Amino acid sequence: MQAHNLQIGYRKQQPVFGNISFAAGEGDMIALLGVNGIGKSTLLRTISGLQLPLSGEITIGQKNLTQTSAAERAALVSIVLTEKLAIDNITVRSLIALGRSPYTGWLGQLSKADEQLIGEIISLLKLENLQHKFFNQLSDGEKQKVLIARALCQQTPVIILDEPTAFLDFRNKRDILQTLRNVCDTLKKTVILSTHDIEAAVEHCNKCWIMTEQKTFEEITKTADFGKDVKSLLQLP
Amino acid sequence: MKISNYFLFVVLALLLVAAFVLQLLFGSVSIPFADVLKILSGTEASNETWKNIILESRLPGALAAVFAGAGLSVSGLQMQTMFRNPVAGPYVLGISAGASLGVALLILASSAWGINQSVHLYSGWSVILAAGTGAMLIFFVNFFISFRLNDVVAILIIGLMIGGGISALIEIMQALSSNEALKRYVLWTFGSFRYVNNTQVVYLMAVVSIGIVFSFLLSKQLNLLLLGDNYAISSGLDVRKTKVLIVFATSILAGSITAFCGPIGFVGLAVPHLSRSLFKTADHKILIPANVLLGGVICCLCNVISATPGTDYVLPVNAITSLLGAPVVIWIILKQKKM
Repeated sequence: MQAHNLQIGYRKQQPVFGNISFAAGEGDMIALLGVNGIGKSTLLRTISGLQLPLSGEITIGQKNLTQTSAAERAALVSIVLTEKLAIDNITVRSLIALGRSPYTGWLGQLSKADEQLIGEIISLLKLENLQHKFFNQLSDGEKQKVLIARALCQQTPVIILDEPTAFLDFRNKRDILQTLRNVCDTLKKTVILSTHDIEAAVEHCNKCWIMTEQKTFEEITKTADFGKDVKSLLQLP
Repeated sequence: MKISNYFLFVVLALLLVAAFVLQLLFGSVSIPFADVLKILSGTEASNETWKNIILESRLPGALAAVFAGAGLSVSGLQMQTMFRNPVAGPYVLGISAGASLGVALLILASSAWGINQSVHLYSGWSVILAAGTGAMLIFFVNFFISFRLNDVVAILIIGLMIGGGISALIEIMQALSSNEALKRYVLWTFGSFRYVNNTQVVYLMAVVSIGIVFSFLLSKQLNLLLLGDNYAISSGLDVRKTKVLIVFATSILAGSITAFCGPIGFVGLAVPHLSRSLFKTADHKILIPANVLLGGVICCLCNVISATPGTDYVLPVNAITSLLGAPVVIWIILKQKKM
């Protein structure tokens, strides 16, 4: 996924953030950092295709994201949102299976191959014991994993997560980030996530994107001084 | 599909047949079972009046109950999914009130303005059109309000306010209209399946069948909307187009049913919840047929109760469905607060 000179926001007169350029490759796990209100969610919404950029280009492979149809985009980017989902009477497996919708027919019937893929992803994320439970009975950490599994079923090269660790305790946080790291490494996906948890981000991600208060967009790749560099850009001690 | 689901469908279908037959047996005039069978099978009836009662009143009424129950439940299910709101339904959101407004305009205003009313005015496409337009109008109002706030209780209150405002408008029209038109309108607001005649029931069955098939074809889209707009968009769904189709399907269902049977409260709200708990699924491919059967059963039973077998009284169906449905709403809201 690449972006060139991106300007994001809701109105042309008041751009939220500008001059964003980046290149993210296969197997990259990237943490998007920045203070509240700086525009992290707006950037994630824009590169997910949920809203148009004010100007600039986003490409995935050969495809220009802003010029693709919603159906085409569904095969390029999948998302995990921060909003809490409360759906009654849906099993974990059927929620994960909804990730196949871009590829199923007009009534959404799953093929044998779909079922097999769903099974593989369930075992990859170690959700076997939960798959027949109802989604609403799960803990926040388990729910988050199920939503990641749904996104994986969409088989997109890029997965975008808006604060996936926001409501989680310490152990679940590590667990989710470790899961995402595995996904990146084994399935060669590009994972982009926003977070406020700098320590965890530095530990698991190989790149950080920082939206600084001076309105600059900085990219840092993992090195020995990774953590220190990230903190200095965020003006933290 | 799971085997237990097949079993449930068979049980519900049998229940529906039983409830349908019950409607033919019970009414203010008691007719022996053997004679009912004779009349239905077309053999020579022993009593001409009985034949008339069964074929001209009870049969169309019974069919109307089945189709009204099915259609209201399916439309309520779709509203709950679309607004992601467990207490949405045609009655609570004021959609039925919108349909009433359409019909009131047709019956009352045309009388107030001295337009000559033919008998046909009340029995065909004109009523469906009036009620459907009224329903769709209010649906769009709800739709735009839900853009601004999506709070379970707030939408409930706004629905009630819309209903209240419309009642006031209708009362004004009532004050201005002729006695005959007024009587016809008030009778209609009681909500009843037994005043639906053979001509009307054909229209009702046709429109409701179309509406249900149309809704079933939307089941994949409805399943995606369970996750909310953003997930649905990122799964490749054209959310705006889908929602317009849902508004259309639910409005013709709720509108046409309200046109012929009057406002029937709470069926569209309660039955989707009952079928979700019964089938333990959120999949619309299963829930839509489940709502058709369960809604049919419940409206048939309400129709039997409203006939109060053994007495001369006929109670308004709307009163019975509301008595059964109101506790369900309270139960849902209590359950919500716990989550």
